[in-house]
Amino acid sequence: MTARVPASLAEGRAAPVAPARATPSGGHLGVMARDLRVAGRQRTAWLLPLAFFVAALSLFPLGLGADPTLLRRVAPGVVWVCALLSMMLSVNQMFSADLADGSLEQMLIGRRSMVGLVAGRILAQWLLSGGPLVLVAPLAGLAFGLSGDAVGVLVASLLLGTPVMTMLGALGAALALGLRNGAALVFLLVLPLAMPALVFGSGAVVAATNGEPAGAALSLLGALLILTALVAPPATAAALRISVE
Amino acid sequence: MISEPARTDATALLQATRLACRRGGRRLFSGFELTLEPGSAVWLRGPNGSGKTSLLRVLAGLARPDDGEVRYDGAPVHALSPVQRGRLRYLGHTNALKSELRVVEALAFLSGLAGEPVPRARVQAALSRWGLAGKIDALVGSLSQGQRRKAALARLMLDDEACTWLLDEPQEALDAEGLALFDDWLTEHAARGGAVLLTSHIPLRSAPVRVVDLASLTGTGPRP
Amino acid sequence: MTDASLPSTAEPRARWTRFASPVRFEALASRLAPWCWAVAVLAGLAGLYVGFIVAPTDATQGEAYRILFIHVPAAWLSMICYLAIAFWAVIGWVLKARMASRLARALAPSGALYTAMALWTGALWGQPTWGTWWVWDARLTSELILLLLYLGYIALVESIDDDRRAAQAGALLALVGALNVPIIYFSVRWWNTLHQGASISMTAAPTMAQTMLLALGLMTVAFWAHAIAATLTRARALSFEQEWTE
Repeated sequence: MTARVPASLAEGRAAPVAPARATPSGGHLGVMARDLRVAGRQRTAWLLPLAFFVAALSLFPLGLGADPTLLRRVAPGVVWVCALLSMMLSVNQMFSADLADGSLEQMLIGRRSMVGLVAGRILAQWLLSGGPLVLVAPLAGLAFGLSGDAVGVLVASLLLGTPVMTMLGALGAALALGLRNGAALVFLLVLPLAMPALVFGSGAVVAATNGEPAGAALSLLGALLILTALVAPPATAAALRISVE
Repeated sequence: MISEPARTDATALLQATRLACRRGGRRLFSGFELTLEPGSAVWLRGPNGSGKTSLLRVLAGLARPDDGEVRYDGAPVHALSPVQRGRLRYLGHTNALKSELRVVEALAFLSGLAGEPVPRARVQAALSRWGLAGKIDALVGSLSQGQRRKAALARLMLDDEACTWLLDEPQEALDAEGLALFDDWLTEHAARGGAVLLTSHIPLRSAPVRVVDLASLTGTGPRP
Repeated sequence: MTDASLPSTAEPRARWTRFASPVRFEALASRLAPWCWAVAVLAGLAGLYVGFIVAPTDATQGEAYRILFIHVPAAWLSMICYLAIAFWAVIGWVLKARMASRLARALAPSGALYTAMALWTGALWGQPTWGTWWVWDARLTSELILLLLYLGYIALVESIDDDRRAAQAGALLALVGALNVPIIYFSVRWWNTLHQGASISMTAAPTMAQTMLLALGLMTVAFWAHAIAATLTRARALSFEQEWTE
């Protein structure tokens, strides 16, 4: 597989790799930098989830009819479900490449904490598949006729909720690493675990569309985020170790 | 059973006792014993399917054996300190070099995992020795299989201190020049006090190695 | 790392850890399982008789309430089985006891069955009571998610060929799932109130006559016995498959 080398990349890189440089080479930042660099040279990594999100969203008005009142009512749930599906689509391949080329084994053997490396991987994955969704969400909200307040809450809920889904997806991907039917299996594993995030997230937006305060739901979602951030990365590291044995 | 003269933990870098491994319901080997001291090289030999790769992975701590234990400097392989981990190197069949990265980026990432970011000059020197001087900024995906293997082996040259190497078929895809270089370099590494355990179908020509034959589980003495 | 099977001459550390040995477990299970099957059948028949024939017609709900005699024990067991899976899976993982992991794996199909039964009987009860076959109330929705958790666990464990990896991965999943269950239940109840969904609660059962309680008790015993019997039988089969065919 040969990669096209954009001229800018070919010429510009003369930076020495030394400790003093800004390029991090170890730990979670190192992994994140590596993944972003890889993704930057292979645009499908982040374009595909985004394209899927937009495509899935477009199905609903086509399927349900263009009645603005109806669309406004279903918008919170629809946007959230499409975000969830889009993230599940991209997350199941999260560790496959590293498993295939042996990088995963090097990470397990190295002196860096596996939890830190996993955290870096998750962060990169979120930046690639979750972040773009958050950025596009306002457009989606407006397309479905949500009010300004509701769009704000939608963005906030996705900002809190997409990391949760990435972390749960990482755990599922790590457990199902290398198995046949991996994609469907990851979906099945992660979906029940992701339902609370879906409920709180879309619930917050529903409250906003009804003119009620969304603070309670967003706080619950925030608490869920913290809990997931504490539990999911170590569990994922353990699952990777199990899957590689 | 390989009978080794009794050694104390203090001198041995790696000590494997009573290792047994099963894969797919089949017992690959049992009662495997090995002691690796600094400055020694061991060539693990055996036919395909005899469990060489599994054994190597067990020794590296990637897989758990069905029985027995592996110790480095006296510590169990699953409870090594970061410093001890930093002195262990494993090279599998795959090179752990991502195709989308440049060679220098890939090598920097790998050495970063071991804890030491490496200056570019060192990377350049290591690659030059392997005949890849001009490839330092090339994308890994543009290298041939043999060149990628050389780059992966070059990564081992980036270490300051003598480490313990566990190499699985390191000579695969190397050309004649690469094979000669590998031989020389093994000798150097052993002279520095490092230890090597490798599996290979290609005999090592000049480097002094102890041969361990997995098929018969008998050991032979050092080659002259 | 040593194999968890204790040789038969070893001194047991505690009474119950003796059964970590597949040989001893087989001996215990082969004696216990037939009794449990017998109890399950007898208690089940008795419970069904008392519940469907002897117990009086309910004043408010008519005959339809009788399905609760199956629904309630099924729902209880579906929850208990999941917690049991998490328990045995963690024991198997921490103590490296293969038999415990096998118990966890053997529990799963029964647990999934009870969950499905709870859902199905819930729908059967719902039809005459609410007029629809399905209502997204908190309890039923939680049961549905629990069913998905079971299916996920079974799918994962069955997809992994290596026994040890299957046991460890399953244990991790079961543990994460068990931790999630209270969160899921809370979130579903919150969701229910937010959307002003069905407020009819299954637990708003009428004050129960003695016979009704008897029937419920008998059916609960029957379900427990069935769970134990089925799990032991399955665990024995797994043991046979994994231990003695190498």
